[in-house]
Amino acid sequence: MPFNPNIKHIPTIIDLVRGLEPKTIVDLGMGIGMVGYLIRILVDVANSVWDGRTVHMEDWSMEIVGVEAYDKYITPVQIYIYDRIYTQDIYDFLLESEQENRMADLCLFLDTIEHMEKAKGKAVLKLTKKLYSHTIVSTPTSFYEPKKIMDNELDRHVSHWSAKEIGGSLMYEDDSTTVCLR
Amino acid sequence: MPLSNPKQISAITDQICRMSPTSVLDLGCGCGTFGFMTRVFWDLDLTKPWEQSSRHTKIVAVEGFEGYITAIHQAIYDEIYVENVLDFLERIQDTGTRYDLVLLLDILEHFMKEEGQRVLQLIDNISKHRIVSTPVNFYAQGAVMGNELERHLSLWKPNEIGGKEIYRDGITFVCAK
Repeated sequence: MPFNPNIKHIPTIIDLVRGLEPKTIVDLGMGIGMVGYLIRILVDVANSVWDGRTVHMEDWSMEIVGVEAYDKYITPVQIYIYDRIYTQDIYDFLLESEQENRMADLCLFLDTIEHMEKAKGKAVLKLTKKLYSHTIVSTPTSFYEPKKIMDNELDRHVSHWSAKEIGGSLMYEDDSTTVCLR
Repeated sequence: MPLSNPKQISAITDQICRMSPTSVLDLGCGCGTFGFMTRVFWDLDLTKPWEQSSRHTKIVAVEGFEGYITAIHQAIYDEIYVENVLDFLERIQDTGTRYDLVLLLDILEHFMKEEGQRVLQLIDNISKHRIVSTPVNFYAQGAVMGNELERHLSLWKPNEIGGKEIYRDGITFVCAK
């Protein structure tokens, strides 16, 4: 799915972003862009308003980049919210970022790693460690196969990850979702 | 503030989906967070790309401060009225316009008690369901971004709002009916 239907972990992610105070964010596998939207509004715009500036993009201070391989998920909302959107495979994006030295303060890797085979998921985690100061990873607590939607083969769940395999600190866990900060 | 307490988002979004609305009126929509959540979580047809034709829920925004309206609102809402919430409700009360669900999220505290009671009464006249959130404690808030409508003028208890309390934390509580 282009978003996680369980959103009880969202306040944890918003709190983490507020605490980390990133200037640059890369959202890997942004899907419908829900978390990017909420960070833009509840963190970036909130800071702007508290500082006496406006809600409009000329007063935004965070750079949020989205990466999504399936272009049918891209909507006018993401085009407005994200500073740049790369429609490409996450691993290819990371390899290019490595070659071009494109770093960021924070990487969001949310409800995406379960769509990768273990070897590719581990390679992505390794590259995020190299490129980004912090990475927030969320993934289903238990394995399940989602309904196929939009004929997007990338939406299949092909792996299950424990918090230990993801690494870093466990920040949230319920029956549905596990969140780690690396 | 044109924003919301992040901790209440899950409870409100869940409640919106439970109410299965085909029409939603978002009064004092601010930055449009709950219009977005309604569109994505309740309305989005996951078998089609984002486009007007795939929508089955009419989502209408009312916002008293034009400075909060951005391109996001144009993408999310079917109709946007830049108008004071009470003026809007008074204007439509005799038109026969009805909504399955009215959202009044972090708005009630911006009215004096008598006006707020009138807002709740008018909402009940035009809706099947309503969800209302407001701060747990009174705190002073001035004219954010020069918007006089942002001042906090009242404190409300759940029994004054009515309905069932579905969420509470140290910042806000939410009532639904």
